[in-house]
Amino acid sequence: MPSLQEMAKKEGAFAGGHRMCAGCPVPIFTKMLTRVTDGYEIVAGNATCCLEVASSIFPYSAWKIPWIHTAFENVGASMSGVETMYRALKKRGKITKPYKFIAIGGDGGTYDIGLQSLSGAMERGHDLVYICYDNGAYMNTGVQRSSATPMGATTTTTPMGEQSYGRQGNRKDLSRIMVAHNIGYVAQASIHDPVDLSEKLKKAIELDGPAFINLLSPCIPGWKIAPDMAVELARLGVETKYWPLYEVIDGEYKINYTPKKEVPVTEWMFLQGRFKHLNKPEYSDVVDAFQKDVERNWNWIVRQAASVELLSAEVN
Amino acid sequence: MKDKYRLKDWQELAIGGVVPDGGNSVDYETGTWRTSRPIWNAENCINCLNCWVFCPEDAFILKDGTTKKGTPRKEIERINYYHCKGCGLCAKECPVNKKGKKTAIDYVKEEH
Amino acid sequence: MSKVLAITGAGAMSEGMRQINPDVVPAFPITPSTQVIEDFSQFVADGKVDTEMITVESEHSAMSACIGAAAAGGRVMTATSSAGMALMWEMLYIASSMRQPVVMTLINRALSAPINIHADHSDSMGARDAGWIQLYAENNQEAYDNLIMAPKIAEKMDVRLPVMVCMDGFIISHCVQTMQLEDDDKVKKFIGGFESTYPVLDTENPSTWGALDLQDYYIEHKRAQHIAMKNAKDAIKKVSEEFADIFGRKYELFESYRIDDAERVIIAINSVCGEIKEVIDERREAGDKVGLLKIRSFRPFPYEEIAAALERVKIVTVLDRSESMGAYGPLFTEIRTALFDAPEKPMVYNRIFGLGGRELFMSDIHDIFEENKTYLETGKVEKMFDYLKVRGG
Repeated sequence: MPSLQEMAKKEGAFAGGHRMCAGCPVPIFTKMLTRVTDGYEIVAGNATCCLEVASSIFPYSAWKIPWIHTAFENVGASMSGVETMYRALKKRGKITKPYKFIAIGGDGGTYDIGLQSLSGAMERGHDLVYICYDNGAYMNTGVQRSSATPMGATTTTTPMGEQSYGRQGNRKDLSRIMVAHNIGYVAQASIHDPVDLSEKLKKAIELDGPAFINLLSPCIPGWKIAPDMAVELARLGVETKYWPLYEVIDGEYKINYTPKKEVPVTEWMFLQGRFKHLNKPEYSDVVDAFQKDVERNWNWIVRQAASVELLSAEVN
Repeated sequence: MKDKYRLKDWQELAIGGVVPDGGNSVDYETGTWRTSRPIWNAENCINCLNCWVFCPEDAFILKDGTTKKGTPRKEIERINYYHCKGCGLCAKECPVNKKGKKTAIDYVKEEH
Repeated sequence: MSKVLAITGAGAMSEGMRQINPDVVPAFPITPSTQVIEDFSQFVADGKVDTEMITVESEHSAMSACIGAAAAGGRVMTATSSAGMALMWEMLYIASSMRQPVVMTLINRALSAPINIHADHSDSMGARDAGWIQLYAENNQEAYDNLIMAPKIAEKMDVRLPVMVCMDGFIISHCVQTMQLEDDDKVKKFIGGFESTYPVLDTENPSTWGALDLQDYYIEHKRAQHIAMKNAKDAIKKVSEEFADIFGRKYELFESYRIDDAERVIIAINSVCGEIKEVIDERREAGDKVGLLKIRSFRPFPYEEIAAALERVKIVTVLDRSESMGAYGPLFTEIRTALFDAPEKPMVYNRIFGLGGRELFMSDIHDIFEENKTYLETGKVEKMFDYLKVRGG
């Protein structure tokens, strides 16, 4: 597990002077990309998103590694192209060094518009790590709902009103969709735990083949929180089991962190402006439904992990 | 006007909108965004590097140092206020601050 | 060894791709371009090329992968048609704006709806502003020759633009014609090695591709792209001359067929030009001074050259095989623009034909020449714009 000291000794991938919002936690993972492994050339691609825009306002770029962005819905495909050209040139003897490729998208560019190109890239087996930083809405365009937006959250396209409590229905579980691609590595990580995250990045990068990491990354304006609160809210997202930390290696689930005590999801929700309208008795059914969904999801993962243990016990 | 701020003619640009010198954003000042400022107190710092890893601006400058036992390590040297946007994450996530007795990072209003 | 063989247009394109042996080919099947990719996949399976193929899940991803692969630093080719290219639309602009010399075979096919798999030019004409060089071909020989020239044109350092090599769906793509397939080594030597610009795989000099331009830089990047397309005209001419020196077949930006002393000229694109030439030969036998101007390069468009070629012509019928609803056909608007500054402007009018593969027979082309004869004699263009061969008039 790469410690902070070890990571600090390596050159980062991402420079200051970018124009992400003050307190946006996304650069926490971008600066790690070159710090978790040794011996690889790292190349990154980005879907259109906050990170993409704010890191590359011409003539400036925060990227200290080669980086390419082409469009919103296609980083899976454009990085398939980059990775394939690497293999082609390696085969022809024009490149000898080992390379690793990383594709980055927000939840809009990954859960929604980019799902097809992500699915294609993973199914074809490119040696590519896809990192989705999930902040639960289209933040770059001004907080519109995505299929990752949690129930009840207000966004600019699911506003709170006389006839609406915000986003209706449950969010999509992209991590499970990625597990269904039968790839070697899928993980959920959180921006508040850089050591766990670095370990997951390392495993994903070192794996020979496609890997997917879904990363909880709170958004200052989208969640309507103070600029120093992103890490704390990511932590609470994990403590309340809204965002379980787990990994699926070759189809086998493993929970990486079990909260020490039961923390109701409201402890996480009501620190955020996007949920505060629900903090009234008349919306208790929405909050209850939210809590139930969190529990159902957590229990589902627990069952998957338990069945792995059960099976390995039988084998032994 | 400094040459780096001069807008270039189309003939001077690299092909296809490329930025040939990635990482050049370090020349761009984001410190002007700050309304509050973190102040690092070396004497209280335990050098856990939490502030360094959480800082979204890469604004904690490190230097080479050693532990008490003489093992080489990276240590906080200073805050780069040219980039620090003053979000306060460093002070919020500082374990010394969290204990509540001393502060390794103070977070104060910017005086303009 | 160079050889004459009977082959379909699509087969000719896959043979050309085999000879070029690109580094990466991302592709998605769509009628009528599928055969290009199928044949090429077989070449990969048989080890006749060492290309890496990416069998993507959509054309949008095909063009996205083309851009990524080309930016990484190698030669990239693909093929598509109609709806496939329509799905690429966004990425067509990005390929040209990021100045990636991707070469794409476009087998022209009508756009839906109603869904139709046959030839017209609504796909490529709609993409005429996308910043791609567009080369058109009357038959499979020309399409093959264009494909062989395309990488050289695209990769010139003062151009660096993608090229669309177009031919008519089914009429050319699926019809067997005889053509000269050049010697593999000669083709490879003609094309030469690939030189990359700021390759994404260069980790020593990390560059950023696809940055955000605000109001302060976008128009400068567009200006540079505009100049590159302007340079493409010379590049096409030069590469065509080199091609003629080596392989013997001569190409210009457009082909002038018996127009030196012609009074009445048809201007058209792609396969219909073959029939027009036959009709012209027949009428010339009878002393009728008619000719054809066949467009090869639609982007860049050779305005001045066309105006000069039509200097002595009295009437021009422009045939468009696509519609620009609410406007004249796309070829017509270019031709009229080209002629606007001519000292002696010919009469010029527009006919739409062949949408969705409706055939134009030689008798129909005779009718066109009869009509423009009447127009010339009366000194009046009765109808500026009309459809040919549509029931109900």
